[in-house]
Amino acid sequence: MLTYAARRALGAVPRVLLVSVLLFLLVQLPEGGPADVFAADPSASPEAIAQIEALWGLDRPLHEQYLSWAGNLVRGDWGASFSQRRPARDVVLERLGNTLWLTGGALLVGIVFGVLLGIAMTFARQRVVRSALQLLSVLGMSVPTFWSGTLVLLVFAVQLDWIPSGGMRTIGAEPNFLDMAWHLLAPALVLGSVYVAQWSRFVYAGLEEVYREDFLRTARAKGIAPQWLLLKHAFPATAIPLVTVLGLELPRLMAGAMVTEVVFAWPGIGRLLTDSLLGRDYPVVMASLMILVILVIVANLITDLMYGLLDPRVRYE
Amino acid sequence: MNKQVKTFLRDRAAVMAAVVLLSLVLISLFAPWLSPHDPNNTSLRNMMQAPSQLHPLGTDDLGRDVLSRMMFAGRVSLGLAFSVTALALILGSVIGGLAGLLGGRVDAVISAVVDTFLAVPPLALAMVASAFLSLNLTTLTIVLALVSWPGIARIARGQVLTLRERTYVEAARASGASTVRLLRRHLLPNAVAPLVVAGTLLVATVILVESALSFLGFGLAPPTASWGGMLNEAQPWFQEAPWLAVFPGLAITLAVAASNLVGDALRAAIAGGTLRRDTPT
Repeated sequence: MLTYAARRALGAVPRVLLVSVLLFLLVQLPEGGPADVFAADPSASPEAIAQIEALWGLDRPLHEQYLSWAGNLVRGDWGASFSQRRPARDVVLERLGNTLWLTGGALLVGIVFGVLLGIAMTFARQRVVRSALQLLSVLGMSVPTFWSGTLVLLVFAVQLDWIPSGGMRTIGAEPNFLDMAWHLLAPALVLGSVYVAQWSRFVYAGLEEVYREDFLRTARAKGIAPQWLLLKHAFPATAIPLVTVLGLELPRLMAGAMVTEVVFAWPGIGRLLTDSLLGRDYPVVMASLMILVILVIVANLITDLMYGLLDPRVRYE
Repeated sequence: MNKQVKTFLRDRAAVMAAVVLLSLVLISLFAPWLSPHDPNNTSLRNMMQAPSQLHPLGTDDLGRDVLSRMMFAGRVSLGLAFSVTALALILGSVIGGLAGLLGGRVDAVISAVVDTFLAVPPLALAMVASAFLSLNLTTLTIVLALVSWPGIARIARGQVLTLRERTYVEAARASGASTVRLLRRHLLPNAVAPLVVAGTLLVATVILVESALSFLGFGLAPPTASWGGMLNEAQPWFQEAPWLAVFPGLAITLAVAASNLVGDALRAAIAGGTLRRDTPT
């Protein structure tokens, strides 16, 4: 198991490298690169621009630039934020926790309610009820979170004044966990609703299939109570493909979090990326993108390893 | 094939969804003739009017008719969604098909690239690309297609991997068919069904990604707007004029839900109705 984990972790390294090359090219190649931000300033003399280019190594060939950037990244030097005049690493890392709270909360909402809804769909006896639940789940999957989030804010924050209208804590209050959780509630529910819809479908499809398998027929023939049949036999068997789906959906969860952060003014990496893209803060753009990607890849690694814990048939050789 | 059409037609929700999607497409297509007003006609006297008989969905902060703007925005949103999907289907099935067919080192390289793309949230990738490019309909289509093809490539590759072991493919190969001919005549036509399903679902995804992109302010330059772009423009006025927030989002949800429903039903129909089963007890 340990060697397997180590091998998988090593296997993720080239992926991180490839992604970093892709992102580097994407950000550096087009017109309006980092130096142009300063060149656009009419008070900047050509000498000053040349000086800045030399200072950041922008006058060197692209592959050298990449190597020095990647080398610095590994050493923990992620460049300095143009707008905040401090290390990009600090700017990004202080936002990382907030994004994890939001995505974690949304995942929790999605898993708990998604599983419950999926089970409800499986056992709904009337076809009408089942079709209605299925339609509801498709709708939930199709609502753009930036829209549902906006509506939630308009109704519950502006009109009814039940929930905070955004941000992470009450202004002027001492930072405490309860206050943060209160602010997290609406964005996590909005972001999580997409996953409630999605996972209910997978749970439903999974249960439908599992209930046709021989081992369940055997268990049922032995006279096991339906609720135990579900809890001990059927659900664990569907949990394994669910983990796969979880892993595959992570990039989208991150994208959803980015949008939700903007709507609810949640100070996470997504909002940072949006702001720094609009403000052309290149080091922060690169740093937050890399963090997003590393998050996805690490989470994929964890889902891979979870197979072993969930599925006794998986052997690590 | 007939049996599959029947299975599809029996799914009432899907048929309705197909009708909704088709209507949205037709309304957008004929927007210049159907729209009650000029979508870009500003009028300071008619700023932010609530829905009325003259303006069924109200007017925006510049006095433009929301319904007319939405019809024209539909051309952008849906037009992009369909052209991006078509482009991604072509790119993805050719690249994925080649990977599956050639195997070995080619497959390893392509799969690595596909995995790399799949690790980056498409929205983030599209945001970065559109922030640094001068955006017009063509470049936006290309950007969105470039972030969408890897999923298709993965499916096409999987399909080709299973198909290429079939006897008829072996026979074609034995009789000296070229790689291109194998792909074109034997492999891709038989992989079409899952690709059609994936394409329909991709339409939904592209609408969502594009609208999120535009909502965040990385979309097309005004006055051209997609539904997401309309939401972006109206953001400061949501409190005073909630109809500006409601209707474009409704259009997005409707289009996405309809594509999802159609895609689901197509998948079920292709699976041959095996998915329908009595409630377990």
